[in-house]
Amino acid sequence: MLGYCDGDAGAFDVLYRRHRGGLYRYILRLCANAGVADELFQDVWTNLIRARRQYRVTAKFTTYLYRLAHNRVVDHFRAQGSRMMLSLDDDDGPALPDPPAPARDQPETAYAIQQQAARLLDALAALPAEQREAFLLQQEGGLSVEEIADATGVSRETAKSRLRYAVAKLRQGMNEWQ
Amino acid sequence: MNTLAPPPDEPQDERLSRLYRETGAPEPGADLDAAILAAAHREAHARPRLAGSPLRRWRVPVSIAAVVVISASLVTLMVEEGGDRLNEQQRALRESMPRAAPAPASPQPDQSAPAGPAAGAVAEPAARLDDTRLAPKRKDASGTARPPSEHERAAAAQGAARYPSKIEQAPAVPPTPSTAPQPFAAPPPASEAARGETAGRPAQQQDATAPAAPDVVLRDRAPSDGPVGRLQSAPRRDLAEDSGAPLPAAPRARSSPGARGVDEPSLSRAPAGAATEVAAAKAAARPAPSPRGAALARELVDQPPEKWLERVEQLRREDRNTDADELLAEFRKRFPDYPVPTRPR
Repeated sequence: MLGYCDGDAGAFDVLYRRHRGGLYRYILRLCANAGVADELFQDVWTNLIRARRQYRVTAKFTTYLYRLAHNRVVDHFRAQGSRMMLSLDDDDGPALPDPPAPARDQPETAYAIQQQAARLLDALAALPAEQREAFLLQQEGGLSVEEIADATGVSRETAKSRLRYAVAKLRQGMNEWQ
Repeated sequence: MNTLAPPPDEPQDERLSRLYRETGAPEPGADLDAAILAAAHREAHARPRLAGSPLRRWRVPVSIAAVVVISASLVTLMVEEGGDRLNEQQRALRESMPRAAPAPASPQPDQSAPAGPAAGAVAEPAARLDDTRLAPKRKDASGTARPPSEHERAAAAQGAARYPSKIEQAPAVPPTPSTAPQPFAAPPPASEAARGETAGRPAQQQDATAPAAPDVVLRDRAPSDGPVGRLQSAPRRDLAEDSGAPLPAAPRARSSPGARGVDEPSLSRAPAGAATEVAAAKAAARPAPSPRGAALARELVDQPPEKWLERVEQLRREDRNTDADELLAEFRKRFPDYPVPTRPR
């Protein structure tokens, strides 16, 4: 990023190729809409380009990038009037939707793996937004608990709690399916 | 995808992570990639051009320098203007100091009036009069070259009104002969010497000695004569003026519109040639003057207008304002076209 701030356009290409997939999936699986994801994805990178002169190395670039994405997604949900950020009290709310009937006698083939992945995505979509976001930041961005807390603007304990709830619910959903 | 091992205290399920990686990897479209990269390259190429612009590089230093220069110029200008104004005020104050010096005796309420900022402007014609006709008188009266202050003149006039006996012995401003061909500086006629004995007496006493009937007539007529009537209403000021003193700043007189008469020509511009003869010819056709004015006018019937005015001034110096007004009224009747000099206030 510092190279791009100094005018090196090639440095931006490297950054973009490194983070484009994970950032796009993070946004896509938060919004669950490809069109909105494209728009928000472009906005995030545009904001990054515009704010390059104010960029200071205070954290890992990935954390900075996902913080921009988080803010943009929050703004989108606020503009839509929907409530993305649910309170942690909702963690004990409605249970995950019932998984489809497991294929008990099916061997672990590629097809079975795809079925499990689809089931995981369904379980992920059923998570509260904060927990889903924490899990996506961990899986797509590779952020630690501290970095998740930094990117989402919450304390470390809050981020850790969200992540723990997310993993537990996903594991529970996958066990129920199996 | 995260390939690093998470810290032991972080919630992490390796099986979930492996399964999540199997969910597929949707990516942005090629057009979206192209748009973002194009924007990034455009901004990256635009930045060096902006950074290399000398205007951009020197914008802040030039702005600071301009602000400093403008501020210094303004401060310098203000200091200079303030100094000039202060010098002018000091000069005006210095000029007015001798005039504003306290009178030795009987200060009057008018003396406490401030000279005001217009002192210099009003003192200019007075200074001109000083140069022409009043300077010799001052020198003769005081014996020194120092011009008498306004308060001294006013005090002298006041003293003349309050202590007539002393004034009779030593008139405040005796008529002195002047070598300069000034109209007011000529010695009075011999016939007026007797009247000069009453110099310094209050106007009331003079009126008491004068015949009653003409006085009443003249008093009734005085207000209709414009400046004459107004002059009669302020004898003390007239006395100070008649003593040959240039009036000070006198913002009071200028502030009151009624205190100033019609625009009369200046004394220094008074013609004394053919206009005098024409005025005398016109005056011959006029009706007869009042008895007292006629008595005064008879003494000057063969005299030129300048002598009339000198006589008027002399009467005023002798505190015979009523007689002066009457004589001036006769003068106006006889010489209606002759410009009467403006009396400085």
